[in-house]
Amino acid sequence: MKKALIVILIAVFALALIGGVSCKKEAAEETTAAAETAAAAGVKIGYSMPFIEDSPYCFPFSEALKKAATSRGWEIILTDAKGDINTQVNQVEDLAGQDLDGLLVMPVDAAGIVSVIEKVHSEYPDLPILVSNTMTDPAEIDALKGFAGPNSYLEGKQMGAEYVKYVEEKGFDVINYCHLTGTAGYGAAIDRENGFNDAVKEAGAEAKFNLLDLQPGDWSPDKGQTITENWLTAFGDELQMIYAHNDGMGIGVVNALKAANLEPGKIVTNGCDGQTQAVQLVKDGWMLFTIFQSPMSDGELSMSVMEKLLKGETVEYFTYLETPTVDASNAEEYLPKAIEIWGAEY
Amino acid sequence: MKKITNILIDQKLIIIILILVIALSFEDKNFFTIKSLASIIEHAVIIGIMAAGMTVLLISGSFDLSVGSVMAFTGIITIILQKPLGLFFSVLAGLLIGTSVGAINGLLVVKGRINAFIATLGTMVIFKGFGLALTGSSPIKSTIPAFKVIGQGEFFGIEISLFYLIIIYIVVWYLLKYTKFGRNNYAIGGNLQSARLSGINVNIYTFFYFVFCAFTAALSGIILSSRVSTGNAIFGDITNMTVIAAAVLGGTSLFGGKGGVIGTIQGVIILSLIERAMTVFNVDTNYQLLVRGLIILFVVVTDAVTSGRKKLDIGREVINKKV
Amino acid sequence: MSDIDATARSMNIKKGFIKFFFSQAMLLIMIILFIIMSLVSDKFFTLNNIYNLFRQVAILGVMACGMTIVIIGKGIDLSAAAIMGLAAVANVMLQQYGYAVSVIVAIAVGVVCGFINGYFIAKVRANFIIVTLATQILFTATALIISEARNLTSRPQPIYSFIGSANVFGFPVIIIFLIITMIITGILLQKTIAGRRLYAVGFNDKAALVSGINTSNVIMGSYVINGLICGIAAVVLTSRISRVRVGQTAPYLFDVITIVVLGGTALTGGIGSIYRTAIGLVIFGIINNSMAILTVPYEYQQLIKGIILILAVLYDEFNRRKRLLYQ
Repeated sequence: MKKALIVILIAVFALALIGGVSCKKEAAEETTAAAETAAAAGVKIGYSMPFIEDSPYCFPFSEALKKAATSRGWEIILTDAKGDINTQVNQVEDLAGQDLDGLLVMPVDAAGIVSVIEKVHSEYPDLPILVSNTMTDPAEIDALKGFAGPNSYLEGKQMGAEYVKYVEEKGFDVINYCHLTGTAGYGAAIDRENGFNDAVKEAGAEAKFNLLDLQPGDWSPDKGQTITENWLTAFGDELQMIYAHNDGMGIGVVNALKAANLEPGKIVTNGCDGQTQAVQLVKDGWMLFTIFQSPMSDGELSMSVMEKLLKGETVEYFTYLETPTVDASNAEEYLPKAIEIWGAEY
Repeated sequence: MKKITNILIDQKLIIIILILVIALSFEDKNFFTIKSLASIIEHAVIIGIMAAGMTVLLISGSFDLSVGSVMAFTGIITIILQKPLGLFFSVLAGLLIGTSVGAINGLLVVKGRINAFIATLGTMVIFKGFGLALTGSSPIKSTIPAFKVIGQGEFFGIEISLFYLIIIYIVVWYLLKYTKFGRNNYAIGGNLQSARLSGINVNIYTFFYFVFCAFTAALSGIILSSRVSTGNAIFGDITNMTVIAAAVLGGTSLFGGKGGVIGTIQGVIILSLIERAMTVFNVDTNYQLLVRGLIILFVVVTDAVTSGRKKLDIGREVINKKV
Repeated sequence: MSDIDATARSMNIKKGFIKFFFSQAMLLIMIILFIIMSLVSDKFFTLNNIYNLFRQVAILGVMACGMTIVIIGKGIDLSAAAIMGLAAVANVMLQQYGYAVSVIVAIAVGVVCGFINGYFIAKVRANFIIVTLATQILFTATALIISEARNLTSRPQPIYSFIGSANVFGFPVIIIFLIITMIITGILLQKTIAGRRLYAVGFNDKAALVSGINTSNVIMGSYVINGLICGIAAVVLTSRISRVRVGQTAPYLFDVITIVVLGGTALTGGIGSIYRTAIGLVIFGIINNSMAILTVPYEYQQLIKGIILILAVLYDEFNRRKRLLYQ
């Protein structure tokens, strides 16, 4: 009985492996189908992602990448580092050993990824490497062909600038605000924090922004709501603004504001990503603005820059994805766009 | 026929490794190059070193959930101390400080009589928070370029970290087989009361097993931070489970008293091969998680089935529990 | 004669008092903390804040009831948060078929998950820590696959907002829900034969086996009930938070375990009760809430929580030894 069980388990294990192989076969079939219509066949791209499953952005982004690749007849291999730098370093090395034509990396840790990129470059000098979404630290390194994608730091600056504008329009001497960040220690959160602070500094408005508290909301509406509830208790009427790093948290903030029976606009907040619900909230006046960051365009951008590189064209080092600000003036026109990307109920 | 099945089961790990290698060599044309084969093991270094320490602790019947945090914390402390202490002493200090977390764990379990699970859960959270506080929730960079030699240095194309792995495993193998440290370990894990009755100072040995486990975690922390030249409190969030899985996969029983590093290294290699397979076979990412979970379940069911326990064992006794 | 009697009686009273003192240590700590916080911050002792405090820990409290049951049985369920996540995802995804259906499915999902855990732990006799670690991954993976990693928005349902945000006579419904769950679970544990069997098995499984209790069924049952409770917690979650995302629930696990342990239910099994867990819940809530309204930086919150966990367990162990001493 015991022994039979073990043999069965080993068989299941082997089956799982075969399942993995057949997954690959399916992907290959899709690629060949598209290759009949597309030009460049046999191109293999690797993309090392920091998360796929645990991120509401990364998942549609990964789907967009797959679509953009197959529409060109390319094969794409995606790896998911589950937020672990060691795993990502290993995966990048593994990918590089797979006879790739191009490699893209979205780093878990902006500084930590540099060593492995340099190592891969020295072993495969002909392999073009692009970085996306989170810039490496330092931003420009010889081993990289460039950066393509939305820039979390610039988005942070965009958001900071919006708030500076708001403060000036309202004529506040000082605005009391709270800062709701993404998961502590991860690149995008750090970038959006620094971007915001730098924008405020550059506008000379540092004295006007009085930080009451900073807490990580872990990109989650649940935490965003809970933290906001506590801020309302702690600061009461003093609180005028909450700067949130993404839509998910911003929506949580608004939920808390609604539950506290506040009117829209009494405490201003924002989002970033441009999800349907967020755009609606901008329209309704609960959010001052959100930043439209389409994962579809992001995926397409990565692939098109890579395409140019493969064709041998010269490419700017930094290719930024357009991330327009959605505020009260243009929320109406962005709503259908958001629905198209994220779905009606997102 | 029976003989063959017996051999099959005893060597099940090697068989799994063979299956994986064969499957991979079909898909991956470059598989049998020295580079590719070496990288399988190089990738396993960090998990592997921690798994060796965890094996020692598991045999005694305890375990440690804080290894991931210790790993990250050691890297952070080492980098912070680089400016004041220089390369050599910062590494030494990092090792010492990381290992001392093991001492804390050991004290909590042995003197405080706290269940190993809760004690190491607590230290895990404490040192993660500590790490976040020290780094201000963002990565910190190494200030000494020579630091990266530890993790990235190469010797004829093969990373020297590979040699750390081999040395540690030889050391642990020797310790477990030929010294009192090892023999008492099996005794304590096998039957606590008998071990105590036969005069073994269970408390002191258990304490040292915790220290050793943390030591390997600290070592891995230094190698990792050196590999990426940064320290960040988010390193090691998922490491705990992988390390324990590798050890249990290798035949070290969670119930204590059984196992060894020979099995563990096989477990580590299997996990590394599976990671490679995920990439090579381009397994759909949604299913990757499912596969990983199934593997761990497979591991633990096999452990239960083969550990020959007749009675329902629903938990490890707290060491020295009097009642 | 009567002198000796009197002395003996007074010693007994003293002993009884000391015993009571040590066994109710956590209750005292809770009261002391409450008083301190009320003095430190004038924002603490407002009705709104107290309601917030309980609203925020309500879901954790429901989950803690299930976890208490499992821990009394000398086990633990590391997949509890993942079960709740999966049930919540199922709940939201099936709302198009009507509220009742989606709730029933959520609870059913919880039961099935609990059954899977129970099977491997009680029948296959695998180690409960790694099994629930593995099932945690499996349940999360399943939730990801069926939700395609998207955020899911729950449709506004009158009954959801009733549970989630409404007040009855000014008292939040969600808190009433929590209290009812705790009372029912408490009755289950203390007043039923099944409950007493659980205590027996947790305390000494070999003795329980010898006295005729089917230990594996009891353990299986404890995991199934935990699954059921996690399913219920999922419904409460959806009521309070209209957006559900896989992975959102993962941090709850540590908090739930902390709450149960804070209350004094030991991982060694056989001891504990919902009453204790309730105290742990309040203490946890007070600490969380205080740190938030005192705006303690995030990194230190983690540090403090970990230290509190360890201190609580150390203190509990200290108490146990003292109590034995005075037996």
